Amino acid sequence: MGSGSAEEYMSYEAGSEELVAKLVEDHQGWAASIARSVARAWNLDWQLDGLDGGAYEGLIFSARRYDPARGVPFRAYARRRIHESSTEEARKSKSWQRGVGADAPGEQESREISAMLFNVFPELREGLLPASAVEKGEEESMRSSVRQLLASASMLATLHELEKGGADRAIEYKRMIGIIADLEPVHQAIMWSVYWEGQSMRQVASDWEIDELNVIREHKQILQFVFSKLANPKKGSTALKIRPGLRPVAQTLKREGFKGPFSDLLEGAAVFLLVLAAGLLLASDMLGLLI
Amino acid sequence: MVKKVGGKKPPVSAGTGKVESTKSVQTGKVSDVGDVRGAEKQAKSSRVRRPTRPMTAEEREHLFKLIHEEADKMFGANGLPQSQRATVENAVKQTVDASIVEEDD
Repeated sequence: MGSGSAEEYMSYEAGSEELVAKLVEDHQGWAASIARSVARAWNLDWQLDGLDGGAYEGLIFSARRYDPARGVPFRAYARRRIHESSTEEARKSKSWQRGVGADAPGEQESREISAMLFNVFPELREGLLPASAVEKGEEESMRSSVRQLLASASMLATLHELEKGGADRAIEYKRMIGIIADLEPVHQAIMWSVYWEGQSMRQVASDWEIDELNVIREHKQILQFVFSKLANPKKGSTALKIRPGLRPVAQTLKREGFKGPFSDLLEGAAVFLLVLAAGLLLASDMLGLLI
Repeated sequence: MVKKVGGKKPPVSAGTGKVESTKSVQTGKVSDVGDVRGAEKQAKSSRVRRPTRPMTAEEREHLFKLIHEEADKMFGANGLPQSQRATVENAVKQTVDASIVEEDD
């Protein structure tokens, strides 16, 4: 079984049937390992729930497009695609749709949020923790990455509740929404695009015609900020600054009168509650008159 | 998406490593401009923060412990509601778990 380095496959022509067959033979077991890892995490059966087929499809897809002349090891090239295929199959499976294996309350929701986290942090598919927002040594870097994941998962859970129309549970997340609504409009726009509209950070950057790194790094700072606010509610903190690469976008949004979708959401909710309260008062007055 | 610095190298000029006295001054050539751009790319790349190292199966339990400890800070009194803690904490643990591949082939 090959180690997957590009040199091993240099004698093959990219895209040839011989190379595809060789790559499949060498890495089929490894692809199956990816499927098993996903199944283990989500309490599914890697074969009965079709993850093996997804992984195999991802392997074939990657093998057909792999060019050893680029010098990239095959496993580094293929891992993301195979992982994507495995998770797609998992989500399509009957077990997932029916919540099989997610017996405790909230477990199915955990699965859904877990799957969404891979969209927000695609590097996870390559076995990489999100880049740390701090540079203070290995342990602190790992904690920083974990905080990003937790803040991101909380954001996804909050919006998941809003989408389901579960107002009573969404109220429990009002602190989260309040924190996001206090952010600069450009920060709110990033969070809305990524978490509500499901855009990738690359798409957001492309729409704004700026470097993707600006959005990626700002997103990390936002999550770090959100986590700090949640973990230290009584501690005052300065507002999150906008990095230079985003300032032109922020200025444009301000000129256009953009307040931020989460600010609008809270404002709309406040207006709704005012109208509701006014309606209730009116109704009680009328009832008093009738009686 | 995290950009890997290691995969991007500045273009190597044709003259690198060669010392030819008759051609020691080669200003204004296109290849020199390419070198400058390459140097700029390298300078930009060097400012890119590298991702943390890949997660390993041996680290799984340690990562789960970190997730639990950090969740302690987020949930509870004045934080997010405890009732939601299990959902969020489990989601992150599952994501980390699904990212760690145990190669047993």
